[in-house]
Amino acid sequence: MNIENLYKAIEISGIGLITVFFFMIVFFFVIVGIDKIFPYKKEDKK
Amino acid sequence: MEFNDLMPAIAGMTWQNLVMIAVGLTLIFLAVKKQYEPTLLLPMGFGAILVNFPFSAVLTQEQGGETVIGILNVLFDSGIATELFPLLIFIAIGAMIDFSPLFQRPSLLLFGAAAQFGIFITMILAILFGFDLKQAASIGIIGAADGPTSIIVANQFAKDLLPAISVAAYSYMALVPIIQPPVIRLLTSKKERLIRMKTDANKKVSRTTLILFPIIITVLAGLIAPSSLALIGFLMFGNLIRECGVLNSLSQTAQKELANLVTILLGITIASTMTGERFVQLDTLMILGLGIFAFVFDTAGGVLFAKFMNLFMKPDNKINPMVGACGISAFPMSARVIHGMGLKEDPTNYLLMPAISTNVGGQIGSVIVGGLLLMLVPLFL
Repeated sequence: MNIENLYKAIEISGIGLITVFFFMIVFFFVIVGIDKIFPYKKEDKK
Repeated sequence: MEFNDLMPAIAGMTWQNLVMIAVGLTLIFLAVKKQYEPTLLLPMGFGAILVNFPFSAVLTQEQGGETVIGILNVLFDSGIATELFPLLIFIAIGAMIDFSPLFQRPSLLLFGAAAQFGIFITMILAILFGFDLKQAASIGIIGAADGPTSIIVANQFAKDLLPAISVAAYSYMALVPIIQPPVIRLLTSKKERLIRMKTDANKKVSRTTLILFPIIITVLAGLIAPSSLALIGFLMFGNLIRECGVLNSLSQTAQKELANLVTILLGITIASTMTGERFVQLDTLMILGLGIFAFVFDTAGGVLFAKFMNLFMKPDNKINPMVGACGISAFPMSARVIHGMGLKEDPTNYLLMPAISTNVGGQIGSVIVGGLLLMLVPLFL
């Protein structure tokens, strides 16, 4: 086992998990945002 | 004339070839009898038999000083090495996915991140088992429960491990009904499993929203992690074809003909690497073991994150922790399993909609993690 690789893997895991959560939070706001801007009812009325 | 010249296949057969033929027969049995991912396990099983005859014409051979190109090598070089097949599959998957359940309770999207925990913990464990960083990342991605993403990452980082990784990824996806329930029961109480979830099942989403969603996600992914664009871009392209409303014929073709054609070729082409000398190794057994570990910890990550979120939720808005387990990408199998578990605990508790929403989030999450690994690992080498 290479201890240097172990530290790198831990670092990649930390960055990776934080980034994927960041992505999902951004996507969450995208969903909430576009759903508010273009709600189903308004489109129906048009 | 000697026996070797008359019957070169029988004379050249090794015990590893025989083991792989047995593996091929087992995969066909699992596909036909147990119906475990038959669309992939059957072509892979048959391919494993095809390539384990010495001097098999489906593989490139040296004959009389001349190189005779094998058809499976042609398919591998053009379909897998170029990542064409897995990306075409992503168009098909995108065309099949309806993202509207995500709009019913968007916070469930977060489980698509939490349930990727097993990928990273498995990557660390693989390093402890002696694999290098690229190999470890490729093994960890089995936990994405997403075959095409596993193939793309393994193809870029650890070509030698591609057969074992793809077999593990697709086999374990089929074993979700067996792997997930015991892990969930171990981590949750009866009271937690009975939690009823609030979702607006009647909520309708406008066509404009559904068209804009894949476009915006692609733009954001391109800006934040461009290395994930091949994966997420093709997935969202397929979804845009579905949602735009003017390409119904293309959408149907992507969902059916394209998916079927590429799946036939994908399975048998992956099998071209399942030769005895490459596959029958200790590494393969370790990869299969680590793959299960990744699935278990993905499930645990989703369930524990739901329990964590419940600490901050109002009593009438709590999340059933079983739903957290759907944050893996095995769609819609994982959602069905959780729905079934919910009904077993309480026949009037319908968890299908929140489970589907979470499972769709898992599809996005696994693709994002695949792209992130492709971006991050080279930076650390």
